[in-house]
Order: sequence, then C-alpha cells, then structure tokens
Amino acid sequence: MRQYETMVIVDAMIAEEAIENELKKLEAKIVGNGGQMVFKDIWGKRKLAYEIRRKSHGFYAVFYYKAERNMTSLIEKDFRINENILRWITLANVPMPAEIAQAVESGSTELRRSNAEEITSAADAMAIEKEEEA
Amino acid sequence: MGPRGKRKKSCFFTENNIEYIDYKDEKLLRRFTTERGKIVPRRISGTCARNQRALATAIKRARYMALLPFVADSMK
Repeated sequence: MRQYETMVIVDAMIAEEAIENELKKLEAKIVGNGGQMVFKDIWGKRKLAYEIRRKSHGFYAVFYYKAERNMTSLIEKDFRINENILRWITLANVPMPAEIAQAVESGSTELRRSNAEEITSAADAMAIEKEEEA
Repeated sequence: MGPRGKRKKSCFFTENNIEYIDYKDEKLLRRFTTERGKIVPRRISGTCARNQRALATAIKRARYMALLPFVADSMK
C-alpha cells in the first residue's frame, strides 16, 4: 500500500448536488477498490488561473488515501470519460501538508473550506515581492 | 541594494526548513513567479539548485491544475 493524493477539478457550473455526487462517486471508487480513505480536503469553488474547456471556475477537492499500486489507473480511467472532471493529478508518496497531517492526527477525516479565496491578484504578488526585498 | 551591490543570497526553502515544496501552496509558489507568471531564476531568487528543481516541478504542477497561470497578462 502506498499513500496517494489526488486532486480533482470538477466543473463548477453543474448543480451542487451533482458536484457532491461526483465526489461521492470518486470516494466510492477508491474505497470499493480496496483503498483506505485518509482525508478529504474540499477546497470548494475557485477561480481557475486560465479557462479550461471554456470554464472560468472549478470545484477543487483533494483526496488523501492509501491504495495498492494498480488502483490509480482505475480511477483515472473514470476521469477520462467523465465530462464533469476538468483536471486531475495523482501523486504517490508525498508528505501531507502539515495542516492536514495535524487534522488526521486529531482524528478528523474531512475538511470543508468555505469557498477558497480568489487567486491573489498580480498586485498582491508584487506586494509580497516588495516585502521580501525589505 | 545598489547597482552591482553584492548581497549574499540565501535559499528561502533551506532557511525556512521546507523539505517538500507543495504544488498546492499557491501563495508560496507565487513568490517565485514573476508578474507574468514566469519562474524566477535562481540568480535572482537565490534558491539552491536542489530546491529550484523541486520548485520548478511544483510550479508546473500548479499550472496544470490551474492554480497558477501559464501566461498572465501583466495588467488585468
């Protein structure tokens, strides 16, 4: 078993229940194939840095789970034919962010962020740079 | 820093004990991209080679997941 993390972007234009349904389907797929859910980090709706399939917003979710090596290809097969999934990325054996690791430690399994902040504007990025220099 | 002024640069990640550069940490990655969305070169940021490589991978992953732009218009 290896630890995986999968981030998916679900089309945010579809109904909320439909989004929830997609996430449930994904979780069922992971658990149904012998995976163990470790943590669900639901980012929520967020503006995309660029348009994907003419969509400007996406619903982000990150799943942390343990699974056998061959399982990810099964999930990804689903993603490929599912039109509601805009993008996904799966990484194996990478450390969890400290925040998540702590949450897992304290026994929680899910985090729902109220819609993730909008992308920092270019002006903000510059302010950060200035701060760096000072 | 004046023209040609030398300042010892140090690697941000080494200094802050960041072992794994996470592609999900958009705020952090944005410090290392220009306004236009390009990756800031080592000679400017002072990042050490090993971390610069990891950083580049993280930024590219973030770009793929639309967390960071591939190209950004300088003024929006």
